[in-house]
Amino acid sequence: MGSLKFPNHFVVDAGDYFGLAGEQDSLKSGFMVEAMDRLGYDVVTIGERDFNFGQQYLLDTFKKTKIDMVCANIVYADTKKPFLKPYVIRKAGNARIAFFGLMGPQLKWRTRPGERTLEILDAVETAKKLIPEMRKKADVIVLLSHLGLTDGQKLTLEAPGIDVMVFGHMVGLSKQVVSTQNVINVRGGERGQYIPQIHLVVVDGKIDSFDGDVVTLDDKIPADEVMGRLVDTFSDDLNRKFAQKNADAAGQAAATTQANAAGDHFLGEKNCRRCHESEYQMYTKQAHAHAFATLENNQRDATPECLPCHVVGMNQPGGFISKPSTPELVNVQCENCHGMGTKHPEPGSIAGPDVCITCHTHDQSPNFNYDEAVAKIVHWE
Amino acid sequence: MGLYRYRYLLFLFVALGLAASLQGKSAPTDILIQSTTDSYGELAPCG
Repeated sequence: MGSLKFPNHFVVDAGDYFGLAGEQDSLKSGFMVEAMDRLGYDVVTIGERDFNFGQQYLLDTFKKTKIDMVCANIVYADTKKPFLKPYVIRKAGNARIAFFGLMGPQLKWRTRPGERTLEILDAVETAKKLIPEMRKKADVIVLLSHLGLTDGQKLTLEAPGIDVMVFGHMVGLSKQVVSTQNVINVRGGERGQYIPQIHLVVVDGKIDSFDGDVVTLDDKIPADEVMGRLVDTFSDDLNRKFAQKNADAAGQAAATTQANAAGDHFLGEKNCRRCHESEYQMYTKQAHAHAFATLENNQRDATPECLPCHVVGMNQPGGFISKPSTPELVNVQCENCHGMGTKHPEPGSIAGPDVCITCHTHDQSPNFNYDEAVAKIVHWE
Repeated sequence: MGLYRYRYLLFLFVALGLAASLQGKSAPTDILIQSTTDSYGELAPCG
């Protein structure tokens, strides 16, 4: 995006770039922001997810970048002073653009011990107050909205004066740039898979015309070589870090899995094989039986987000913890599809599509077809 | 007295400046805004 040649070019985001929890997500979130900075993002607002690692983490992460964070309706509860800049003004040729952000008042996050309490002000009232102020300083007002779809649409009705709105917070995808209630707006799906782009022509301080489109970031868009190398390096380092942690904690982890195995638990393929030898022999020639090797070949064999679909019962009773701790539970085995071995007599242990799609998601297996997939894993006479 | 002698030149500069300013304001400005949202999780497939 940053390499695009356009004289007055701005890259913005409407929030929610951080992961959920844990060390992996924290490291990944930090890298995500670093990548956004390298890609040339100019202004972003924040979503509730962006507080997942604490206020200070959020502020510190962006402090290292050239990106402006804006949000007009999050204030410190005690002083009512804004948590971030409410808006920024950027010059674009002869025109000036105000970018401001709003968070959905219903969205909640956890205030961590030692953090100051934040308060979310009413979005409509905040916008009504701010729009005249920004209008004095800017020709175009752009809202980076983290209000969701319904509240975002409501805002355009109740707080007139916004020229452009970038919808955020689970708003789905609209493949067109449209104008509703005189607000040019875009809904860019999620996970950065689409890039809505709005082209404005400003004459005499007013938007004279607009057009735009939504770019799908699929295989037709060539990968940026530098960014690709950075992502690979980050992912490889992450995997090495967790592999080392797993090796260090192997003994302790093995004891934990035994302790957790008191109730129903996973048993591993060796137990199934005792009575299902012919099925086992067929299974060993199929892709599921080698699922862990695909992670090893890609140096992702210790990456927490990858493991659950390549091992048995990740972090569940009797299940996989790490390769050094539980080497017998690598690969997709009998219990991934048929359930815990200790529940064996229960009816309904034949896997259906609902089980397959927990791992064969649209992102991981975009062409997944249940009937075709089952034909590849026949292990019964 | 000296300034009076150059009044035509001064007038010319002011007029040119004003014209340039008006011309600049009414000249079309192209702006491109690219956006993303909910970008979490978009990093490196597992393999």
